Amino acid sequence: MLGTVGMVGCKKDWLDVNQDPETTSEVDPEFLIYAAQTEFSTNRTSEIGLSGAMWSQLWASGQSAGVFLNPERYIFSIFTTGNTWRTHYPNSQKNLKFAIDIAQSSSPAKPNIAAQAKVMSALIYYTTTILWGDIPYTEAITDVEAPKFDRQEDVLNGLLSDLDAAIAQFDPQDPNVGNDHYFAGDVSKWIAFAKSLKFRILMLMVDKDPSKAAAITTMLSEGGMIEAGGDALFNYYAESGHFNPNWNVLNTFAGGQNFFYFASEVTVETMKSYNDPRLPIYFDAGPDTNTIVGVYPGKSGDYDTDALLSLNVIRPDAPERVFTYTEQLFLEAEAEYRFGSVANADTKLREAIRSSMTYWGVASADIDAYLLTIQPLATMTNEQATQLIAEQSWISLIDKPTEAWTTWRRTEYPRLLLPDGAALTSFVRRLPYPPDELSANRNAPVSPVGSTPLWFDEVTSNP
Amino acid sequence: MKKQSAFLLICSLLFSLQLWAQERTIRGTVLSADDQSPLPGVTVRASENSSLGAITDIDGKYQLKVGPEITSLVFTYVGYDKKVVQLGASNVYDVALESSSLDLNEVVVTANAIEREKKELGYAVTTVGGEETTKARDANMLNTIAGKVSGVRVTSQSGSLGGGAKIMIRGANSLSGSNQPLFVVDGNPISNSGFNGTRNDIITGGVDVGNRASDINPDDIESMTVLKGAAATVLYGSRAKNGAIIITTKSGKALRGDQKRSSISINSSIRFDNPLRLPDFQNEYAQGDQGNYDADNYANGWGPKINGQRVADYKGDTVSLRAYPDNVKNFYETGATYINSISFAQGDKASDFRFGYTNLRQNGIIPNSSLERNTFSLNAGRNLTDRLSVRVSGNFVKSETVGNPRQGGNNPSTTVSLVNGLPRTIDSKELKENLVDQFGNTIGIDGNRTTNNPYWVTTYNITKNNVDRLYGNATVNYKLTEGVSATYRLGTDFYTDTRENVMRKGTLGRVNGELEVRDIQSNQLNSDFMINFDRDLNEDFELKGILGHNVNQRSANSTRLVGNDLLARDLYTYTNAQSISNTSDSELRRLYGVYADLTLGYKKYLFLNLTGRNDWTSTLPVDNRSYFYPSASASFIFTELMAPENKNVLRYGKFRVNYGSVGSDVDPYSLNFFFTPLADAFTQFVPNILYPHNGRPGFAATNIIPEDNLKPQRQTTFELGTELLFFDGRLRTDFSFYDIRTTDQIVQLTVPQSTGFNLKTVNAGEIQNVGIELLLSGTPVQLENGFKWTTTFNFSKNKQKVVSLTEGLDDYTLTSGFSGVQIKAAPGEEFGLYGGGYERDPNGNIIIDENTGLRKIGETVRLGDIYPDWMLGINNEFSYKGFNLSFLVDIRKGGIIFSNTVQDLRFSGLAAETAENGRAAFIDEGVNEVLDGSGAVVGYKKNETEVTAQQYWQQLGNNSLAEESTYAADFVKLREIRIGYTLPSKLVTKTPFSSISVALEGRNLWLIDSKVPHVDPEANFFGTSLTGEGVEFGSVPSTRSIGFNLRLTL
Repeated sequence: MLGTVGMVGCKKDWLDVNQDPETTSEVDPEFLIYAAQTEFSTNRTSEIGLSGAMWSQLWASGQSAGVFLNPERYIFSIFTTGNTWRTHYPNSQKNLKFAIDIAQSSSPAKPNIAAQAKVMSALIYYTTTILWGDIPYTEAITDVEAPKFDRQEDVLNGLLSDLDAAIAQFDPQDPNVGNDHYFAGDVSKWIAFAKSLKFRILMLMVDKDPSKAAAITTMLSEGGMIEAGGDALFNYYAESGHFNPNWNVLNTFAGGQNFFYFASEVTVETMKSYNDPRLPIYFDAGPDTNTIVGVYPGKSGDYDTDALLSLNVIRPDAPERVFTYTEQLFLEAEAEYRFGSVANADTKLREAIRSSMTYWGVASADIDAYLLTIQPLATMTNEQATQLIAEQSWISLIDKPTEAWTTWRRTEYPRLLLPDGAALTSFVRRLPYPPDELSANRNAPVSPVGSTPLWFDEVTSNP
Repeated sequence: MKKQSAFLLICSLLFSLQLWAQERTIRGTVLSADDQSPLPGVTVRASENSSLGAITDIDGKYQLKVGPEITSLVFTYVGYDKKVVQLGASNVYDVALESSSLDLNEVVVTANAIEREKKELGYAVTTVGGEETTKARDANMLNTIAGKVSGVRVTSQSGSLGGGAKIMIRGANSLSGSNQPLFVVDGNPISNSGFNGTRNDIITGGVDVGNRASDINPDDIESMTVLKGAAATVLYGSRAKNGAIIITTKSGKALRGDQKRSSISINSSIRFDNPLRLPDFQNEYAQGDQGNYDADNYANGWGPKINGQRVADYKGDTVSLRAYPDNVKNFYETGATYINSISFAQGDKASDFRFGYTNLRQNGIIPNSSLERNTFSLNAGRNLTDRLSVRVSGNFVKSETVGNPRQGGNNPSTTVSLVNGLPRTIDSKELKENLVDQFGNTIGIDGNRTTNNPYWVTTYNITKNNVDRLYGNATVNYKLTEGVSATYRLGTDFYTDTRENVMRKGTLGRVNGELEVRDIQSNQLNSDFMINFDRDLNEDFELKGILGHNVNQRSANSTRLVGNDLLARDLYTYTNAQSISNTSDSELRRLYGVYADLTLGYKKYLFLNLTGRNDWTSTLPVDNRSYFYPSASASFIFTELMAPENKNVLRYGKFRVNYGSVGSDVDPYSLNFFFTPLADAFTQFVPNILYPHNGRPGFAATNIIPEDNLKPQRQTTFELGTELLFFDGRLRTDFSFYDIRTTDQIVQLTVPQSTGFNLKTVNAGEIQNVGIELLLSGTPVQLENGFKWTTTFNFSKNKQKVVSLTEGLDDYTLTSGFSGVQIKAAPGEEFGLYGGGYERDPNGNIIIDENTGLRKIGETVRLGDIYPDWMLGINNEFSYKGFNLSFLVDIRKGGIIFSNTVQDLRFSGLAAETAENGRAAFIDEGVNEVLDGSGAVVGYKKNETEVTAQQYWQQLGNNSLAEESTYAADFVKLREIRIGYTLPSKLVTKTPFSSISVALEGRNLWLIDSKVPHVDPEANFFGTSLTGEGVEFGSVPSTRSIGFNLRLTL
């Protein structure tokens, strides 16, 4: 009874227990950035990565599992689209926005942390828009209850400004740089990455907005973009709990053997046409043959005769390569070819191929020999040169499905094959919006058919 | 009056004197006809008004001297029917008294262990005696009241051992939360949580861990009072808004008396269980595709006709193909349940005591599954002085469950789905002996090793659940003055719940093994201080009341550890896992309230009750944390105003009416914005990436937009009803009508994820439940020779309606499962099941694709209501001397159920119907769209495109088509049957016992009628904590059980 009286006596304090002890109201902004990097890269590897590898025809399912065959046949899982959307908006963009606010309002302010968060935000919006096209951007992560969907062109232009703002905000003198996954806080690498991202966006836009050529030319001459050793990488480790998720699929379901990822006929045939020395590095031939044979998209693979992706590509410690020097070189080669000097383009292309081959472990002499077989760009027609740069880029992107898909949508190279059992009458060029956003957001547009090109996607040739 | 008695006394004395010479001594024993136990204290007289009489002793024995003019004896006892026995030549008359159906002064235990006469209550109350919960025992005592109380629906969730039972009283009132009533034991509220985890935990390989009300031991229950409305909320607060189950445990109170009396009771039950219903399988076709045999890629039934052909089986051995029609049936074992209990009770003038011990041991129908539960209960009271008394009541329950299967999907170890998916050509006996090959590799049921052998799962991938629980209370009562007393009660409910689920290294889909451990601690403290008073104001008016103060604190802590990539085989420790993900949760909520409950009675036939309570809660915003809720009820015994000669038909009639309003709070921590350190990052297909990753942690802001101005939810109830007794109680009826409205619901609305959030907490929506309940009970036959037939009908009908949600919201998703199946609330409708439906033309014909001949799957449609329209329980009881036969039929009408088992069996070509017509290709009935040049639909024509059997059934079993696998959930079940015999006391006297009875008891013996193929229509995979029903998904089959019971009383 005394207890009761005691409880009543101090009733005011006694009821003030509505703060979850497992949470906090204060957080270091860099911890929010680390989470966004982890969530974003993990989604890009196992979710969009694995589905994208199939629908882009970079890899083939060989009907090994329905979860791979379906995207290959353009049957999109609402889990893939829903998980990706959730990763991008609530799990990343929101936390980045808080990181920016906290970094800018803390005392002293942390401009480098705020700028990193802005670059991350731009990177993720860029990824969202290359998957879906028109997306919530200006009204996203605001108090607006039903954010409007901005046109892709407006989103991309907005991202260019955001990146400019971030680049301007980086302060090499400020010691608060954090220790992020990509660059461990290295400000100069962050600035180079931001510029490269800007460059990539300009290259994406220039087919539809030729006025971007001027900015491209300026950036080419100014430089300062990703250099050798400046790759933006999200690392995985040969350590349980930190494995590359694509390797962990093999580890969890097949004890580390590849029973799931077949070589795609598109990739194999493209590489064969160049006699590419990376072919046996990327793929293992079936045990009954010495020839690497790719599987036609949507068709059944034969474990005895068809090639599978090798464990050189699918490694427990394979990083999610966010933006590589190789990609920078391919972009510059294409930019020089179109808006600068063909000679520079030729040099950049060869550097790009060398960079990729070195990464995949091709011997230096073999690289030299291979480059001799590549005709100078100056001797080629426009179409031949475009095809060469695009296909070489495609080959280098064996572990980067969304970039490979975007390269193809920009250039239509290499030629894809309409999958067996395809649910669309033509190639997929966009994803359907996830049902959760469609049902909750009254401003969400109807999803166009998956073969409808996005704004940037100038369909130049008939497949 | 007094004069008359005196006169009679003198007269009888005179008679006695005069007739001294002829008198004789009559002897005998009085027993209760119900259980043949001796009845002490029965009055035996020569006539009703005669003072000549005797009272039976503790053994029910009496002895009375009577003269020759006495030709009959009258036996009367409170709570029993009067019995008149004609005297003949014999001097020995053993009499059995029937318990009265006309107990007008019935006392019921209402909230807080307070006893009230039923006639003064203005709300619906049903009391279920302890004998009902032990009639045909169940490991979850809630199942034993199914069909016995009108307005109460009990749904067993699965056939898992100790599996959950969901109880719902008068329909679901809330858009969020479980809508479960409050459980109160001896005045102390206890937890009925299941801690089932998140929705995702439940549907992906979740184990049915039951609900904690199942810890209440049926053998210790004296009585169970079901308060259907919000009547208990004044004493327990808003947690009782969905009704309350008030349980009184057995005590030694009945043994109190001038002399010390003792009783020992021993009870032993044995029961056997087997699946009530298994799917009907085809037995003609082997595994494969399009009629071609393939044991490597497929575990299904789409191969060739089984014809003794020589093939390589799933192990690679060459065998002659044959069907094993009973391979699924043989997988299940005969379950056995042993319930043994003993209790000691003693009473004397100042104290009483009861100690009970019950051991329940159960071996399930799933191999290697078992449950052992030990319950110790103590209930003791003592009067320390004339004014001061104390009572303690406590229960310790220890349960250990092993091997309950994982249910649902997206998990490699869902036992029942694996068993149902066995190709017809695989013998389960052989499967049991082929877990690994000669190299130690796991053998799957397909050659490619993608699907686990169910015996691998039941042998190695063990699930465990241990619960240790202590609940009880201590009460001190002090009598201040006549009619006024003070009571203080302090109660606790504390338990730890440990769960360990493992997957052995080598499990297909978890090749490196997995260890999952969850530790839960739940703690509840409840304190009540009450002043009770009961005063006659004058000859006509009486005032009773309670003034009280209540404090309640509930807390829970849980940790969950998932270890992946195990090192040593069969070692399940944290250090044997290469990576561990660790998450924890904690919750604390506090509430206190003050309350008053006043009853004014007029001449014992008109009663007015007013209650009011104010709560202060920790979970609402400071400005809204205090809220008041009142109620008023009235009871009017109108037959008291009728002349006695007019009561020949209607003996007793009561009219009752009540109105109440209840406020309720919200879950803790719903108001603030916060950041959380993350444990892991979602990773598709494989175990999640863990934080810190490369030494870097991850933090994230909440995904739920908090509302800092939440108001209490409000529920208002209007109820009226009547209780009528006809023909001396041979026919009785109890009728209720109610209208319950819940407004300002506290819900979490889905917001566009592009806002950065998933949900938003708001006050929104109104739900109405209107219904009737009717109890009709009669004794059609009651013969002089002791034969009696009693029949009881319990009917309830409830109509739920979502009156409104919030502006701009068309529907609200309550919960969702796989295959796009969702439970939603939409204005104007009941809670409904939604899922993919067929495309149809304007005439309702199914549209068939002209190219493929397959039915077209359209958009998500409303498939139907999840709740029944009405329910009816019919109980019949026949008794004759020591024999007793009773059976209960339970009927449900309305509502629907989606069965994933049916969907899967058809997709895989294993269901019996997939073998029809020799699997010949055929033309499905339906229409094709007629298109114009631009592709627009301009009309419809009869379909003429052929389809193969495999394509047809695989389309019907398509995961995005819920409509085809959704059925009316109506059923008629023989729920309980019991045949009992109590040995006549003549035989018992030769033993050391005072009473011996034996019984044959059975539960869920017969699914008499159902519209659902292959599965029991009662299954539900959302468990007890989610507001979802109407979905079956790889559920453990419910069991049919039959057994024996022996009860000995010393």
